[in-house]
Amino acid sequence: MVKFAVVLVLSLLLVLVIDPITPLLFLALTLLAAAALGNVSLASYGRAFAVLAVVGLGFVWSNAILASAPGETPPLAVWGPIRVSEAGLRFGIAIALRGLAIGAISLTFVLTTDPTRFAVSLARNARVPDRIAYPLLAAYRFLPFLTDEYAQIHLAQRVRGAADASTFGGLRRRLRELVPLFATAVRRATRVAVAMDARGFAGASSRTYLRETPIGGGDVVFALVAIAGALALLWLSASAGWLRLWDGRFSA
Amino acid sequence: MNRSFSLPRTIAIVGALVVVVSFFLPWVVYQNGTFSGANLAGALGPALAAIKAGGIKGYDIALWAVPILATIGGALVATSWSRQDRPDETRLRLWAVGAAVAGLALALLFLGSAVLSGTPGIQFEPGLVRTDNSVKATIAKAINAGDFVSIGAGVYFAIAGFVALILGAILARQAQPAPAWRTQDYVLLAVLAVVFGAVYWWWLAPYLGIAAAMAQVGQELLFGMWFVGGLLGGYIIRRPGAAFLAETLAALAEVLLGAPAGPILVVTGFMQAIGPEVTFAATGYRSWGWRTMLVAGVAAGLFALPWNWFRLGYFALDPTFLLALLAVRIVSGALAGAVAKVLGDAIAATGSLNHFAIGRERVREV
Amino acid sequence: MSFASVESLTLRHIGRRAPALRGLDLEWHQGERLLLLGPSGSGKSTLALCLDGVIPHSLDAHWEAGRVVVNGRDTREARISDLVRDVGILFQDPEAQLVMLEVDDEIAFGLENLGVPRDRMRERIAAARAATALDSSTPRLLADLSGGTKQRVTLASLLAMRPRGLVLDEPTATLDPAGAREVLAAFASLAADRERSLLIVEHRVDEVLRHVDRVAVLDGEGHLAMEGDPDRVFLGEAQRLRSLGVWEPDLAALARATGAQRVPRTADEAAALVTSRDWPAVDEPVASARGRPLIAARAVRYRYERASRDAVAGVDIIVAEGECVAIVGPNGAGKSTLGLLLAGVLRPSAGEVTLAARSRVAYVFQYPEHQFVPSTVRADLRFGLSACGVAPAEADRRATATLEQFGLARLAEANPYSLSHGEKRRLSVASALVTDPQVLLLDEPTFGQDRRNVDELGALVDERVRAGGTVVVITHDLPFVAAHATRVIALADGRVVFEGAPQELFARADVLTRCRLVLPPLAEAFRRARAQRPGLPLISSRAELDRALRRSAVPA
Repeated sequence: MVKFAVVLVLSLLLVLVIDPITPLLFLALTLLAAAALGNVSLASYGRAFAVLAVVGLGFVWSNAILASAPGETPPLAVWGPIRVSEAGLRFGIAIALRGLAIGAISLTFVLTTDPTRFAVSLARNARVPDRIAYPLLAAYRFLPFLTDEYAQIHLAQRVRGAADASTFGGLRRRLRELVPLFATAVRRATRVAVAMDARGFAGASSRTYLRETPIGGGDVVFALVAIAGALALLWLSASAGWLRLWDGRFSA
Repeated sequence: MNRSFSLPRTIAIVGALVVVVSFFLPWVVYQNGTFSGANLAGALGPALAAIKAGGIKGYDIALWAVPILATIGGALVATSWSRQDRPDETRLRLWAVGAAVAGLALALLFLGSAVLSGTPGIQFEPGLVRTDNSVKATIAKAINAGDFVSIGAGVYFAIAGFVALILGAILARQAQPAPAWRTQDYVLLAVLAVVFGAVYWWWLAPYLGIAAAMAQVGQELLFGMWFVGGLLGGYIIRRPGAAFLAETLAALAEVLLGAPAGPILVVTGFMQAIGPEVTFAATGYRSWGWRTMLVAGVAAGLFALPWNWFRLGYFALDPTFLLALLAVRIVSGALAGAVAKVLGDAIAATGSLNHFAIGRERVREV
Repeated sequence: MSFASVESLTLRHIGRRAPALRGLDLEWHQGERLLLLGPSGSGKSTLALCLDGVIPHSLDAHWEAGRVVVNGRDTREARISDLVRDVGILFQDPEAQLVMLEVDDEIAFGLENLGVPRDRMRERIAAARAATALDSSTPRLLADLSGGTKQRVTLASLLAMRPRGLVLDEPTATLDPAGAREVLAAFASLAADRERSLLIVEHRVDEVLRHVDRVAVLDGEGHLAMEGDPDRVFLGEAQRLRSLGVWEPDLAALARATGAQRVPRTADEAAALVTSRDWPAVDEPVASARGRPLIAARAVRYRYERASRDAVAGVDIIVAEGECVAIVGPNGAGKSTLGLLLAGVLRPSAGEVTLAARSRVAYVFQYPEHQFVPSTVRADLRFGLSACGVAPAEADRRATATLEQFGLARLAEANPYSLSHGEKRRLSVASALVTDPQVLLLDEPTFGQDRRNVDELGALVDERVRAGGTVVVITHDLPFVAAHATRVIALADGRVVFEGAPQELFARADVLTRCRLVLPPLAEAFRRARAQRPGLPLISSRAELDRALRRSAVPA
């Protein structure tokens, strides 16, 4: 839970940053920390980064051509009606890098967290009601089955000759396949709920817990180190003149 | 008439008052980061004079919308208080929430535009509200503030006030308590959340594909997919909080599955969840036809707009372009509502949903 | 003394026109072990849910009349938290009962709900694990467990709550024979404890009979058809049971054939009965006088994406006209994969599968829901036909004829997903057959079906084979194999470990062990008898038994 809070705080901090260099620093530090301390292989970041890179490109593109700074006389490049501005380009790159940094932080969290502990921690430390947290844990178990089930359904439908070649037909077929998937998921959900109630879940007024999830010394140290690290980076960036934040001006 | 004390409603009304008062605070000048009590006291008269001097401009209309919305919200809450024992008082409170969210959006807009106007080198124009520098200059002169006026404490107070209004209105106890949630409702919501968390994660691929091709307009069109989880959850379970919980949990599930946008996505989910919830509440959780679902979808998009404004950098864009985006967003939201309804009906037809609220209406006996 | 009593209960589910239970009167005595039987859809599960208070507190239903009293409490008036302390239920789907991710957490789940203090939990968990034979060799993570072990974990979780009564609703229905064995062994050790009252719904009657005090049978309408002492019910009322479509122990037929007064409870008892009379010789299995080959698989291998080993690792099979081939083996041996390869749905990673000219394989999946086209039953049938390019008018005609043939005419406009389990199975088979394929491939067709449906399916298979058609069945159900298959192929780890007649398979203990298969009760009885009197035939199914008895003209 502490980890989640730390990640959230760091992400929020980063949201305020709009220069290109600072997020890059954060990104580097996160990857280093993850590789060194969290036994996470760098390859697992690959897919997420690919996704983020595409998002980032989208931003770079649209900001480059649509945003502008006042008093900037010649645009960087002109292609017919499209005008590329330098400030816009810089801003776009900054947003893209920022996205990558935030993505890295959150992915690190996901890769280093055990779901049961997290769910129980949600229930106990974050005071999410039990009746929401436990069903969430039960539903989390569903996921591999749902993917298998979907594959089965797809196969079964294909076997019956439901092979629509056109993309539109293919889309329609996929949507149609969703219905049995949902129907099965709903039925199973009802059975899980009944089984939970049959073991006393509903109307359980005072619960006890097998596992402890105290917020230990280790968690506190981690939080302090992470936040200190983030602040240090920001200070470094500011003193090097790279940092730009969303600030109001203080003078005319 | 039952007028027992209700803390949430009190908080809501106080919030509305704070907004109205703080409307007259904005023309407080930061002089090296401080403001004095004298400035505060002197703000009322000069502010009104300045506005009159500057004439009515777009900025002004939007500015005035803030206290008006707060007044509407406060009045609705007060009315619901006097009708505490009638079942339809929920509707009043929820219209108050709607007004408050609109006001909150505007207040955030002002905050953003003011803050960003101060950012060196880049000028941003909030799309639908044009910053009029001449008005600002007039006002600045009127209160002796120098050329640049920064919207200060007033906006923060306004934001806080609106939040208080929203929370107070939602949390007030209802005359008729809603039917109790059962474990299967929670489990189904959790399952829907997990399923949609995965679907949302998967949807990123086509979304980005189109985005690369058609920039933000394309993005907007497919944006609606993110709303379907909450809409479907509300449609099946039909209880207060169902849509809200479904959408927020789906966002949480999406984060936990490794979505690159990070935990901030939960906040996005939260914002996207408000629209459908408010719509369903406005119908008293009773009407579930096409009209309701389409409106709920559109509402999801509109209520999420202020948040997306900052997250996706919309403030950087040209106003006419923004209007186009808005139109596409509305269409996309309606589409999401339609998809949710069609899917919900198809699943109900299989008989699996007989035990849920939707089953009451759609059960076909075999 | 009564532990629970059901008084004139009439209950109707939401979405159904007919009540699931009608005026049901049933007593469940203190310390008794009661076996509940009935055709599918007869309300057995509904009854189980009522005993726990799940109906009406957790699940809605139209409670039209009557009441249920458990341990002195009327279930409608008591709170569910009290009711679950008295009665625990084990359901049939192992996956749909688990909540947590680790074994100990799962066992503690019930204790957490009851508010048991943490220092007490450890000892209760240990006791529950001991009672269900979950020792330290059991993996820690639930995802690593087999179906049978998962059921035992849930059972442990229930036992930890120390209920006074336990209901087991078809606990082995979705398990393979080895998993079923595990669970039934756990049941056996529970049954030894006379303090607890047990109610079990189970169609593997032979294996639980020795632990059961009394039998109650529901009919298809939700009434109590009969109840009483097991021997009296199974020996005296056999005709009635058959007409209701209820599973009865195979060994009961043996008892009747040998004039015994009681149904044998153990394999040795049964063997003794076998040796007590003479049996006509059984026809030796006909050496493969088969028709032309329809499907030929040569050195076929298949590996799923991201899998560490081959699902099918070098298989050579020929499926010929006019035979019924059964493919058996443990879970994960590659049976379904092989079926998909034979049907041409999957392309082999290596080797080849050739289908004879102008032949088509219709594949019927294990879970009928996966194959339905959502709308109506009739549309589902027509779908397959139009996918084959049949003209709409002709498609309509054939669909209607098939609906009649399979007794689904009444449900023609209903949504396929709302059908009962047996009806869904019939529909999936009908949809495959309506397109007139050369080969019919069935994946676990008898899964969770009641007696009548299985008999019908068996009759269908026999008829097709007699008429020269071909059927391939992938199954765990050895009695079905014994009764209807002409040839058996046993798979283990993706390879063929046996090919031959069912009789031969049953004689090979090594293959049976490797494939985690368990001999059907009759086969086991005859096997043991043959050890003493080698001249005896090996009769392994009811059908064979009946044939043998007809031949010797002794009334069954």
